[in-house]
Amino acid sequence: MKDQRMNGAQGEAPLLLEARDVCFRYAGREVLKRASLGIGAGEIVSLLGANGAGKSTLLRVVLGLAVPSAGEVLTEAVPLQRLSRREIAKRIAYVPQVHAAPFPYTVRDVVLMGRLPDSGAFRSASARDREMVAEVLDRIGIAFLADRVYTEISGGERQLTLIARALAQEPRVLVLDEPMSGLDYGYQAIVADRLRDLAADGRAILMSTHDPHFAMEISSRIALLERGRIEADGTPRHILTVEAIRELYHVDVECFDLPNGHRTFVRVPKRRSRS
Amino acid sequence: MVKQKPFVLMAVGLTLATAISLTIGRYPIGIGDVWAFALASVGLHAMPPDRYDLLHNLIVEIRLPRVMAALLIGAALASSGAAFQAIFRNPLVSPGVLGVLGGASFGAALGMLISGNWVLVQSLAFAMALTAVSFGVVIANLLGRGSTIALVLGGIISGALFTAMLSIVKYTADPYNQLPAIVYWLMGSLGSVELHEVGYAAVPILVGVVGLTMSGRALDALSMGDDEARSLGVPVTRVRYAVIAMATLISALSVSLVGMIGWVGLVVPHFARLVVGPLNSVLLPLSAMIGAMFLLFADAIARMLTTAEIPIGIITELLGIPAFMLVLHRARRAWA
Repeated sequence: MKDQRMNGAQGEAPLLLEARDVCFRYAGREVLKRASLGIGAGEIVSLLGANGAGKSTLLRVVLGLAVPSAGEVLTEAVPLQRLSRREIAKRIAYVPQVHAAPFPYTVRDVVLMGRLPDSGAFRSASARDREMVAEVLDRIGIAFLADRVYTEISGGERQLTLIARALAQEPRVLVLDEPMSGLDYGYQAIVADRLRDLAADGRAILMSTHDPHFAMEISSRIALLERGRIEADGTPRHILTVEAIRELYHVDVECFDLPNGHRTFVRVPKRRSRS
Repeated sequence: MVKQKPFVLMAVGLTLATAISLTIGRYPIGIGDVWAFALASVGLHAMPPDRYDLLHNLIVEIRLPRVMAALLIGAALASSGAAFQAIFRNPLVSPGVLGVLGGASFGAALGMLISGNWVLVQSLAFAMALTAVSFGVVIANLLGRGSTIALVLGGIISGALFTAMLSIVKYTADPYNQLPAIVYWLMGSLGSVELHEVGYAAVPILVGVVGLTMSGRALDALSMGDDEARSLGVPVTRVRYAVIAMATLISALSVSLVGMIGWVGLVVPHFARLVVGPLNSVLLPLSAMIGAMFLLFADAIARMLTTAEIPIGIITELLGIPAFMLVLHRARRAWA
């Protein structure tokens, strides 16, 4: 079953998310320049780039939150522009960076918001919606948080809550904005495990990140975004090289291959000019 | 799943409070009289005609209009306050945020300057309240494509403009008759409301409260941020303007009927949030009920405290401040 899906993703099955030559202009500046990216079922793609490279904009475009000035975004071969906001929300879910809510919603309330696309914003939640929320909470491993107030839990717990909400939308695609920022080491591991599970179930995952180690550990592919262009797109070992890191972040690193096939980087301190 | 207990309690409480407040006034009648009159008016109870006429005059013509007005306007101000708080993602927002009060006061004052005709005063207050909000929304769209912060700024600008124009009207007003009338109106009073006015206002206010309640889940999503709400399938711009339109309409109607009544729209939603939590589909109707109760109570105090009636706006302010401090004290842990 799982193998079939994997083959499908590489074969003729349509990509779950595809950006085709996407351009985006904002305030006269070209933020995205013919960016193309495709993600199939089971894939986790990390988007790496310096601050201001256009990562957030690309995420907003593939979510249908920003309309590209040229090019198009498709999900399962359907252009987003042909779908309503609600239809997009049933296919593509967004996990924003951890934030504070202005009102003390409980974790259950927040996750129940993920059922909005299915029921519509003007109908009340059904018993089935509530059951689904309970299942999702269980699945993400935060059932014990259900009645806690979202504004009073830790950053890691909030991130899991937002992932649970995205999952309640029953999407095929998850788009995450820096899922690891602000999380402690333990929660980083938990979030990474959950994301791997979700991809293994046949979802496509796109996320932006600043952490090359995390990208190396979790991604099936990495795309490098520089000044609005996708400069490289391939397997982590192929993409994340000493040269790429220097190019991206202007930092000198040494690279070590690990026995598990991953790679780790150690920063080479710059020699001080006066000493 | 939805907590029903607070609603049942409030419904019972409101019915009792309404009956009790019909007994309050210069001519004392008992709650038994109210009950007997209610039965007699539907033909279930025999009552001497002169006694019936007296009670009809007292209850239906004098007291019922203001009691109904208190209920409706309390509900309108409190639910529109809760809706504005969700739209602006800010628990410190009140119905006046978009300039509705500034516009209404200018309109009412202008009406009193032109003539003392009460219909003109109310119509102008209502029209200017809507004008002020529309003006604020237009500015917000010029400034920042209608984002929340642009709306707040637009409201501040619009409110300031209409307050300045109010000052011009006050300055030109005749200081012996018109100016005191304007000042008195600004303090808010339920005393001059008539039953047919309440009847006209009731339908839009009730429709508005129901409409806001139905938008509750969309408002929850909206309060998490525009991008998040959109990614949850909510048509953000349409919902925002529809809710602003409904909340503005019902608060403008309230203000134009009875003048400025402050604090209800700010304090009551906080209180309701402490009772049932922040989900707007539950919070909005409960805010409406608590708001109705609060204004009924304030009106009873306004009538009972002294022989000369105190403007209810003063009472709501005096009651609102300690209530607000109490609520903030209880709620502060939620903002950490």
